[in-house]
Amino acid sequence: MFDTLVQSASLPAPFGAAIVHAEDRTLDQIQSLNKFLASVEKRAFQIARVSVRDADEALDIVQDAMIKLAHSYPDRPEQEWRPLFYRILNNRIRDWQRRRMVRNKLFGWLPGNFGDDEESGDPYESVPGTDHGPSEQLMLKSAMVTLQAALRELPTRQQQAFCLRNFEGLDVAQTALAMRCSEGSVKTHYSRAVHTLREKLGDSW
Amino acid sequence: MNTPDDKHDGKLEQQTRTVFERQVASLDAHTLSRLNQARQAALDAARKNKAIAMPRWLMPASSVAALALTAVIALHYSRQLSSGDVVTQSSPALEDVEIVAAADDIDLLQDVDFYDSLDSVDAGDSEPS
Repeated sequence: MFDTLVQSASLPAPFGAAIVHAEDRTLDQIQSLNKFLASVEKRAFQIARVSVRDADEALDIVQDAMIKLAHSYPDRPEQEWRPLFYRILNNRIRDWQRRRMVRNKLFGWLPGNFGDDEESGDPYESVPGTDHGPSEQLMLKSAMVTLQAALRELPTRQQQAFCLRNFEGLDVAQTALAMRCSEGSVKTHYSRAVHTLREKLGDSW
Repeated sequence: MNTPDDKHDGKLEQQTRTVFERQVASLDAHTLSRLNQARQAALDAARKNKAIAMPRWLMPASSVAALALTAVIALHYSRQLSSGDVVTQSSPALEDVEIVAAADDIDLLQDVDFYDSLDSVDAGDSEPS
């Protein structure tokens, strides 16, 4: 009696094949996710670093965003991953900025509590990068510092719109999805950001 | 028609993008390594999440199978109870368990051969001559 029950409880062949198929699909999905994350990680780090001014904090934020996407949204269509990832990243950056604001309000008056921007000294910043010459490195660094300073002075939404559209190459619809606003708002934020940057960076840009 | 401002904006966008891309391309090895570690951590999270989750169609199927199994077992026992077999006749497997569990009979079990031969002698004696 129980032998019969056990035999009937084991999965028939089509069920087993379906599970194997699901495992293959999962592997494909992990590979696609790996490819996607590799394609966005560097730019995401740079965008986060512009906002938080700290390489280590920016790395943590990018890691959080990656884990959140991989954990919660791997089943979403791949074309949605990019705007979703940047929405998560922007949320993480905003949360970090809020925490920092609270911390500065609470402890900002303490002696020795200077700004913890990375300009004060990230040891890895001084390590030469890839194949650029020293003078070119210097010019590049100078240009990036100027650009970062100008970007940081932008209101958050303008900064997001400019980074997502111009650096990450998202279209208006994707940017709207990432920023959780209408496409019209994206266009307005972007246009204002470009005009403000033009005023700040001058004619040399 | 593009205004001079539009042209300038286009140039500004192009230049800022170039500077940004150059900066991205010149990231140091330490940062690249940390980014790689971050990606692997994210992929691990995805793998663990997938390992726990079962295919959606399998959830109702497994629930139905579990219910059917429970119903069959319940039916089997209810039939046994109604026929009274369980109360009056215990199965051989249950008898074995009772013998082993009874501490008094341990000595008896050690001399099984002796009691076997005694049984056969008794049987011979009782036969009518």
